[in-house]
Amino acid sequence: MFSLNQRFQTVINAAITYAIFIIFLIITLFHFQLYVENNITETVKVNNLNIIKPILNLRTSRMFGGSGKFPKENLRIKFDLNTDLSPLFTWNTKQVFVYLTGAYNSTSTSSSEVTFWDKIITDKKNADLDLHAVMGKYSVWDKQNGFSNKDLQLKLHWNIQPFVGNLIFGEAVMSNSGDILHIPAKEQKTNGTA
Amino acid sequence: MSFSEWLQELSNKMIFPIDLPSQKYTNRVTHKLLFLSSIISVVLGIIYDSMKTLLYFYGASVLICLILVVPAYPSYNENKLKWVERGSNGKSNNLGKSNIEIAG
Repeated sequence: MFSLNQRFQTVINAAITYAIFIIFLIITLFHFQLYVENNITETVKVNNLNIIKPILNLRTSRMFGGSGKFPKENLRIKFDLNTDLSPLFTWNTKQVFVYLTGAYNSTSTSSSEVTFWDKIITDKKNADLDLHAVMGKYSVWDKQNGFSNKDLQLKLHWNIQPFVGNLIFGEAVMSNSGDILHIPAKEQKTNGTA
Repeated sequence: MSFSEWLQELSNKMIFPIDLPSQKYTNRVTHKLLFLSSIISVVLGIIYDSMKTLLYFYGASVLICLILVVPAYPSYNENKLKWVERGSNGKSNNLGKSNIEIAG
């Protein structure tokens, strides 16, 4: 602390040290706050999830897993969703990423999970989702088989992206246990390649 | 005069020393002020529900700390070390009985 230069450096070093202290304080308090206020896994509930219809298409584009000779069965869904994600917003929440997935058994030995729809919520005001007849964002396909006669276990995942700290992943609790989507077999329009 | 020589000369002029008690004092002030303000800024951030409040408060307190500590105010130089005066004929004959304050 003898010279001007030394004093300046000491203050800046101390400021950075205490900034790291602040970061740890924020992370600890943030997790504590989420745990106390929400009991995270329990409060975020899906009030209503209604699949209006699953849409199966055969696509030949390479962008959708098919090729000219072997078209691929692509699945999109149209759905209603009502859920309130505002408990996930605290002072440290930058945005919440929410996504709707379906888990199914791809073959008899392996299971897969596909994402039908997602959304980034940046504001607490927009966190109370009430969607009607929304088309899923993504057209999904299976590597090996199609989706015909498959049962998909639907899940709504969320992911908190905080200003400071680690990402927090979770899953919304479904209101009713019957959130299994059964895909009916696609009626054959052409008799040829399958 | 080359640039490095000029820089050397400038840094020699820019020392602005302060005395030893003030050095201890400024060190204490730095750490106490920043520690307290870091806790207060987190509390304010939680109360006002915003990260910005936290950042602004902490930034302001770092600025205040710089203003308090960095310049060599006259009050930081009141207890300067007193050096032995050189004798009249060039000999330092009164070394033993001078009023040197060994700072510690």
